[in-house]
Order: sequence, then C-alpha cells, then structure tokens
Amino acid sequence: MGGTEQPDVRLRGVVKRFGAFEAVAGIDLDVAPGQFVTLLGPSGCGKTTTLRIIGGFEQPDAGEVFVAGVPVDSETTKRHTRMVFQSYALFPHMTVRQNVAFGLRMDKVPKGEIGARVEAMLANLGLSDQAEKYPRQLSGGQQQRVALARALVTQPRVLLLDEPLGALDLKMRKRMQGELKALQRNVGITFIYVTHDQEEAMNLSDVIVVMEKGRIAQVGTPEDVYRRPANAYVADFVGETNFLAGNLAVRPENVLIGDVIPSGAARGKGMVRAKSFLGASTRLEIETEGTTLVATLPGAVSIATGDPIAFGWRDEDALHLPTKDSK
Amino acid sequence: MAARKTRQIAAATAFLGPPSLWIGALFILPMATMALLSFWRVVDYNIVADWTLANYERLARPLYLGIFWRTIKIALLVTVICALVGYPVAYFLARKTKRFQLILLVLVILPLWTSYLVRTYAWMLILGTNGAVNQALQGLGLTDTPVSWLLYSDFAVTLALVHIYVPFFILPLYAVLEKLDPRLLEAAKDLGGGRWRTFLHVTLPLSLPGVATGCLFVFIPSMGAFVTPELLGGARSIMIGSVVAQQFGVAYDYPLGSAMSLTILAIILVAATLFLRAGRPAGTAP
Repeated sequence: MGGTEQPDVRLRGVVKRFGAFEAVAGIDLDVAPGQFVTLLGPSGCGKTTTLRIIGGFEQPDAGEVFVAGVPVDSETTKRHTRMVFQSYALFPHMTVRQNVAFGLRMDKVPKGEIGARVEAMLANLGLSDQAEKYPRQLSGGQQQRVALARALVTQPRVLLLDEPLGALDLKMRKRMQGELKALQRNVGITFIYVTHDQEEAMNLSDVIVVMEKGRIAQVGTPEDVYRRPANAYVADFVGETNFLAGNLAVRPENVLIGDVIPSGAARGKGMVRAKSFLGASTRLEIETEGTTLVATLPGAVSIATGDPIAFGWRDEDALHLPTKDSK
Repeated sequence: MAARKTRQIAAATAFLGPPSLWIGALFILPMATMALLSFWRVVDYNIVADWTLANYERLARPLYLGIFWRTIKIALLVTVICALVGYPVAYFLARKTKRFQLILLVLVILPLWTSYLVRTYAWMLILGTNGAVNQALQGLGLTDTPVSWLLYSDFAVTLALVHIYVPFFILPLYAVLEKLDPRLLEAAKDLGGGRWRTFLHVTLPLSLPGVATGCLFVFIPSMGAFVTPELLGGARSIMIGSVVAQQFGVAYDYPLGSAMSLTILAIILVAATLFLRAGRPAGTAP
C-alpha cells in the first residue's frame, strides 16, 4: 500500500467506545487511492464502526481520521465519502431517478447537469428502464444498483460499502460481486468494503484488513493473508486451517494422502472418520492421535470411511504462526 | 375436509359473531333509522312516515348554512393549529429525546385522564369575565374593563378544542416518526442534505400518513363537538353539534336532526378521503 501518493483515507489511533464496550480499540490504517479494501472480521470486531467513523457517522473518542487529506470531524466540511448501506436506505417515496438525483440536488448542481448525470449513471448501471419505478417495485439486486448509483453519481473520492450484498441470495451475491469489482475498476475510486464473508473478501479485494476485537490483526493482499497469516486468528478466520503442535498449521488443500506423499513429506497415519463429496473436491476428516485433521482433495476419492490412511504435507506448505502469547 | 370447513365456520362465528352483533345493533341499526327518519316528517309532534326532502331543504336556509359553515371553519382551524402545535412535539418526542421520552409521552396523554367536561369548565374559569386572564390583564393595568371576547366566542371554542384534541394529533404522528428508519436520515445527510432539507425532503413526506391520521382524529370530533361550543361558545358561537342536540332534545324534530347528522357524516367522509389521499406519500402501497 506504499507509494508516495497521499492516502485517500488515513486513520491514526482511532478509538470508539459504546459505554464500557470498546468497539474500535486503536486503529492505524492508510488506504491508497483506487484500491478495493475490505474490512473483514466476525460480527462485533469493529469493522462497521470503523467504516461509520470514516463516513463521519460516528465521532471517534480518540484519534484522527483524514479523507483526501481533510480531517473528518465537523459537519460543515464538504465530504468526500459516500455510503452504501446494508439495507440500501433508498428513499421509499422517491422514484429511482429521484433517488439518484438526490445527492446532486443537495449539492445544488444545475438542473440540466443533474438530468444528464443521472441518465448517464442509470445507463451505466443498467437501470434506465427502472427510472420511474419506486424502490419497493424493484428486486434486491436492482435496489442494490440504485444505492450504488445514488452514491456514485456524486463522484465521491471514496465509496463506503457496509455488507451491501448481505440481503441477497447466494447466486445474486456472486453475480453482484463480479459487478462490484468491475464497477470499481471502471470508476477507479477507492472502495472500502465491510464483510464477514472471507470468500467475498478474497474475491473482491486488493487489500484485506482482518479485524479482531476492535484491532487490526493483519493488513495484506488476499494472497498474503491466506498464505502468510500473521497469527492463528487470521489463519483460522480466513480459510480453514488444521492447527498442529507448536506454532504450525496446514491448510486442508495442502494435506496429502496415500501414495502421492513425496519422500520426506509423510507425517503419520490415521483413520478416515468422515468423508463428503463436494463435487469439485472431496473433504476428509482424518482421526489421528486424538485430533482431527481435515483434508480437501481434488475430485472424487476412492477411500471409504473407516479406512486407515497415511497423510503428510510439504514443508513449504506448512504455516508458521507466531505463538499466541507472543502477541 | 368437510369437518375442517365446519370448524372454520364455527371459529369465524365465535370470533366475529359478537362484534358483528354489537356493531349491527349499536351502529348500523341506529344509522339506518336516522337515514329513514331524515326523509320523514313531524306532524303534531308525531313522526309520520311520509316521504319528503323537506328536511334537507330546510338545511339550505341561511341560518343553518351559516352554522354549518362556522362549524367547518372552526374544525379546520382547530385541525391546522393542532398540526402546527403537535408536529414539533411529536417530532421532538420521537427523534430528539431518549431520556425524557416516556415522561413527555405521559404528559401528552395525562390530560386525557381528566374528563372532557372538567377541561372545558377549566377554560371557563380561565377565560371568564373574572377569570385568570382578565384579572391578570387588569392587575397589570393593561385594560380597565374585562376583555369580553375571551369567553363565549369562536376564540374560546377554538382554543379549548385545540387543547382537548391535540394529543390525538400527536400520538399517531409520534408512532409514524418513531418508526422512521434512521438509516434514511443518515443517507440523506451522507448525500449532503442539511437538517432542514433532510426534514423537508425525507422526514416530512414520510410522516404524511401520521399527519393525515392525526388531522382526521382532530377534525372528526371537532366537527361533532357539542359540549365545548355549548359551554364556551354561548349564543355567539353556535356549532352544528348543539343544533343537532336541540332537535333531538328540545324541539322534538328527529327528522331535521337526522338530516343534519347525515350531512355532517357526509362532510366528514369527504374530508377523510381528502386527508388520507393527501397523506399517502408517493411510492407507498395504497
């Protein structure tokens, strides 16, 4: 995330408490322009609160927030962020066109220009045919697009998205992921995206910020976070992991079985306790010395539950995690 | 299947039967009787089933038209004042306070626990020739003689009706404003809407159903107000409710009273339709 450019978003020592609960417990983060950054973590990890602080919806109890170099603290500042809400928060009494025009009207953009920009944005998101409809007449995916159009038409520096795909079914979610990614490349602005779905984060992001209990556990590319998790928490939350003795861990897809184990990679023997065929892969649970090791193998496997099995992994595939108490 | 159907009919009868009887005996039957009566006439203090439109024609006389017109004017004025006074209260209750919400809500409802009659008499004490207001004005040397238009006037009737009915405006509006999704207001703010424009473009249009319901709850009883204008309006400020009561209680002219009542009902139905239509924001299900 380096570079000499001024970061679009900069957080320094940001803290936010709700009563005795510390939702955000000291966050430093720089987001470079034009990146798709995901705040990833389980519910209660502070990701949404962090997003709302960047958007100016919450005042941090300590620390500083800059968007495009301007501190986010007063209501009078012209703001460079726009938010896409989880529930979309479309105005139910306005048509799609009126919803999209709202921000431009508030910015006192000349009428003729509003019309042209709204039409262009609607066309861009494939909403031209829906312009006169009201939000309740639209499908979830269409409402999602209206929310995006309403935010993007005002040309913000940074778009904030709070689990925007959470309300959609799986198929629609996959499709919208692709559209979001393409949209972000297309408009070229910074997206800060909040989700608890690690697969979604991997799929979309240039940079993933893994959060735990109000703190940042790791910042990195999806590959960094997956292959070189900073600690056991990250290894556990991003993808599935077999934790081994000491500070070692191995991903299920790196577990080898039977004849394909190269010399030096054999680790032991166990018994297949469960097997599930998932189509593209097969998942085995191998019981060994009182623990369970999960292995994911490509395609179908001719091993039955109860069979004895040898397992292993290559040294380079093992994850070396810092021990928990060293944090 | 047949047994299930029988059970359903039995359940429907058990649940809907008593209220249907109640409404039939105490609402539909009397209304139908009044509708019939309004087309009959009185001969030598006997009501005769002799079909006529004369009762409605009598309503068109300047005397009654004037009273109808004053009643509508006062009811509308009361409704508008209740809206202007009640909206800020409901808004504050629903959106601006958490700590005092319950206390303030109780304060809004509290007057409803005292009798309507007591509240009307209280206004007589306040507005009368020797009432609190006149004594204060004289005590301060602002006037030598008591201000006479305070009591027994349109002013007194309007003031008391606003006082009595304003909770009926506040409560339905409060319910609507309280349910308003705060994310919508955040979205408006995020898109650059200041407080005033967010109110004007988002809060106000979305609260119109509450405003319409509140207006109805004030307008309907104001149209039919009887005790308050009787006590506070005197001879100068008669409303149609008093005239209806006279027909039934004093003049023994049930047909004329029925014709008046049905006319009031018609005015209210028209007003209700207009209020509810105006109060439906665009894009919401009818």
